[in-house]
Order: sequence, then structure tokens, then C-alpha cells
Amino acid sequence: MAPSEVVRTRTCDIWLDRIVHARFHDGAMVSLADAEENIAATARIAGRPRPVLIDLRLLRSQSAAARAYLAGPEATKVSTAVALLVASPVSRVIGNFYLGFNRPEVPTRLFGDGPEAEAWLVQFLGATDDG
Amino acid sequence: MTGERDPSERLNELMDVVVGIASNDFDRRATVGDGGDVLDGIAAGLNMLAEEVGLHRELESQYRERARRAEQLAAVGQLAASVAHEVNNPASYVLASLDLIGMFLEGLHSARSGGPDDLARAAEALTDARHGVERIVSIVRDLKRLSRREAPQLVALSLNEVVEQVHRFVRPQVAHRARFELSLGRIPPILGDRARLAQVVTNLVVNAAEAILDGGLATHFVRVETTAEEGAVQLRVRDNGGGIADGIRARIFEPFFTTNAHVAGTGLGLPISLAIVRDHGGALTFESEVGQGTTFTVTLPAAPTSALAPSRPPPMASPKMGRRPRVLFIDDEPLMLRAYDRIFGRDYDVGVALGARTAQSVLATDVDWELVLCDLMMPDLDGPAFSAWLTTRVPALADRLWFCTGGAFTPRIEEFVERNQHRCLSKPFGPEELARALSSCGIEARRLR
Repeated sequence: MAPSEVVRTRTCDIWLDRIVHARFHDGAMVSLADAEENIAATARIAGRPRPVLIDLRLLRSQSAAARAYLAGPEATKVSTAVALLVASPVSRVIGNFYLGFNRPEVPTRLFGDGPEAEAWLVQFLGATDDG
Repeated sequence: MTGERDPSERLNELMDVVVGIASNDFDRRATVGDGGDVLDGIAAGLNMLAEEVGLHRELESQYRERARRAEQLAAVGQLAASVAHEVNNPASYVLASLDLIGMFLEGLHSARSGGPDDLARAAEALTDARHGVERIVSIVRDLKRLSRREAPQLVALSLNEVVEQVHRFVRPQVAHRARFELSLGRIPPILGDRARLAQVVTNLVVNAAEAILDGGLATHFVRVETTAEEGAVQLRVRDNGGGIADGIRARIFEPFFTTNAHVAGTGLGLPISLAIVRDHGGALTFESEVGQGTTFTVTLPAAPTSALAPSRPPPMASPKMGRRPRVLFIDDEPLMLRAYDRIFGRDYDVGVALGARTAQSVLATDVDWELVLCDLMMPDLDGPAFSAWLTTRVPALADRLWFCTGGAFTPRIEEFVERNQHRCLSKPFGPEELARALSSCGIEARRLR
């Protein structure tokens, strides 16, 4: 399966390449409205729930409302598992806050290494997903 | 670039957020740079922490208010059985008295009775019936006060009156466990919300009773005492029950903490009582000894004298020469209007209007009334709507319009009563209340007795 086109939202670039990839723009500050936009875009691209790799490394901030939304039932409609890619102190803090305070409903882990994150997500690919 | 900022300036900014969180200011934020260093990570973390704690505090405040209301409703629910008992007793002897009077009148009609003894018994039955109804009215009035849900209203009141109201309600719950005693001293008025203070007293008394096992009536008591202290009033609820163990004393004001798992209750009575007492600028403390009993003490500030200044009564005026005061009663219940005519017709020139629209017709040709008394809950045109009409169309009577209600059942009427408490009578009312209403209009009222 060829990778899909990249959809650019206000804060994020999203595309499908077996798994859903989402990369936040440099210095992005994510509000609830942004989170809703990103989930809607993911739903259009993915078509059904898929594993998602989210690159937080350039993210600057994420509101509490955005985090709560992303951990809630709307997000479970688009993701079967989520890998959060972190590196900078800010992205590590945001990732850990998300895990600790919001307790997402789908399996979620932090990674410092992209290939390792993808390898973990592959196990959540469905039998009918392109592999 | 963040790296160009002075590190001490960045640390001071972080400290500012920390101090803000500690002092309940959750709006302070530190600048997060491009995420390249640990200070940026700490700044991001502190910002999120401040936001989360602020949100949780807001939710906690909402939760406490909901919990307070739930506890209030639970307290009313607990009292429902007591109310049923209290109302059924006087209702029973009202019915019995009326039956007796009915038999007397029937016998009178058939000439089988009517002698002095029968007349005396009938008169006595009437007195008993009146007493029974007064008692029911008093119970209903107190219950309305206890269950009122409006925002706290601080008025000058007597804490002894609150205790006596609660005593009437709660006595059945206590009576099978302990003697319920009152020792009410001469105390100054306080500024308080009657319904909420009643809730506090109820909670403390019920807790005290529950500390005493069934069957302890002969040897156990729950005693409520009030005393005046310097600039304050103290209320003490004492029991000689089991006392509170050392290990749990620190927890008794904790929400949902209870040692009485077998007793229906939410475990919120004491925390809510504490919050109410603090809202009144007071303190709630306790002393206890295992095997000896417990005393809870509520200390409330006395009302400042400026809050007690009586309003100047309006100048008295006599009704127009040669006539009795004219009073127009407006109600949608024909039986109520008949009762008004019967009760007040001897001393007043009574007019009646069945509903507000009829009253409008009356007032179109006759505005010469000393007092207009209007029911609030009427289906065609209610009290507030009639008031608005009267103020516009017959402004001369606007200051002579009073209202009566058996209980407000809609938010609109409740709000209207709140704004017009000073000219509302609660049904049923008698000659004293009507005289007060006329007096407020500057009319010297006649008394029936």
C-alpha cells in the first residue's frame, strides 16, 4: 500500500502508511479545537481504527482539555493503540502527563526511538490491514 | 531563543508558578521555549500542573455543593417519617373532633341533643380541632424552612427558635434511644440562614442519637444547650453515648467517613455542618471520652446591633370616618374566599374576587380599598402578573397590595416571594397577620378578639 497524501491541520501533519503517522509542527500549542480537528482528520485518513504514531518532539504545549479529549471515547474511534515519540524535556513532560493524568483508553506508550515505536504498533494491525 | 534568557530569570518565573499553585492562583504560567533544555521541560510541566490543579479545585467546589444539596435532601428524607408521625397525630384528633361536632349538630337537628353538656363538649372539640390544625401548620412551615434551597440568607434570628423547630421534628427519632432534653438560655440574636442552621442542629442531634444503642432510654440523654458568651452564642449537643475513639477523631469531619454502616446516611452530615458553621463565621468543635459521651460545640458570632435596628412603623391612620377597613381578597378557590368572609367579615368590610381577572373587573369601578390581598398561585393570571397589572393600571393601590401563598411551586413564584417577603402572608393566616398587613399600610386594624 502506498502512503497516503499528507493532511495538514493547524498544528499537525497526518498521513497513512500502514499505521497512521501524526507529526506536530515546530512550536505547536494544541487546544481542544485543535485536538478535535486532528482526530477528525485522522478518521478521514484512516477510515477505521488503526495504530497511531504521534511525534511530540516539537510540540510546545497541549491544553488539559485537549489531553482529556484525546484520551476519551472519540479518540478510540480512530486508534487501536498509540505510540508517543518524545525526545525534548518538554515533549517528555507532555507525554508523561498524558499517560499519568489522563489514562488513555487505548494502549499507549512513550518511545524515544521511531523504529522501536513502529515495531510495537505493528502488533496492533488488524488482519485486514495492509501489511 | 530560550537559551538567550537569563537562567535566574527563568528560575524566578518557575518559582512564581509554584508559589501561585501553593496560594490557589492557578492562572500563572511560565514561558516555554523551544523545548531544548530541562528548564523548558519543567516550565511545561508546571504549567500543566497549575492547569490541572485549577480544574480539579473547580470540580471539587462543584462536587461539594452537590454533596451539600444531596445531604440536605437526605436529611429531609430522614425526617419524612418523623413528619408523617407528627402530622398524623393532630390530623387524627382533628378528624375525631369534627366527627363529634358533626354528631352534635345532627343530634341538635333531630332534637336528640343540644343540652349544655353537649354544647360544652362540642366547643371543646372545636378547640381541639383548632389546636390540631395549628400544630399541622407549624410542622409544615418548619419543614418548608428546612428544605428551602435558596442561596444563604442571613437574617437576624434566634438560635433557640431553630433548636425548638428541630426538636419538634427530630424527637421521634431520638425518643426510642434517649431522653431528648433542651436547656435554652437567654441568648442574643445571630445573623444566620435558618434552614442551614437547622440542618446543622439536626445533623448533630441525629449523630448523637445514633451513638446510643437501642434500649438505652432509661439511662441515656441527648441534650441541646444554648448559652451566651461574650459577643457570641454557643450551642452544645451533648450525649452520654459511646464516645469517639482516639483513632478516628481526626477523621470525623472527613466526607463519607462513618462508623455507622448499619444506619442509613451519607457520611456527609458533619463535613457539611462544619462548612455551614464556617460560612456563618463560626466554629464547630467537639470533646469526647470513650464510654462517657461526646459534646459538639457550635460557636456563632452574635448579630451586630446595627442589624437589629427595628424599622420605623408607618404612622397610624384610622379608616375613613364611619366605616370599617375595606379588604379585597383575591383567590381562585371559592372555599378560601368563603372562609375569608366568614373569619374576617365581622370586623372588616370584606370583598372577594374569584381569580385575578374578576379582581380586575372589580377594581375597574371600585379602588377604595385599604388592603388588597392576592393569592400567588392562580391559573389564569397569577400573583406576579396581577401585581404588574395593578402597578400600571391602579398605581394608587400598589403600596396596599399584599400576597398570600400556601407554598411556592414554581421558580418564578419562588423568586417573586423572595423579592416580596416583607408583604407576603403564609396560608393559613389569621386576624393577627391581617392586622399586621393593614398596619404596614398605615391602617389601624381592628382585632377580632
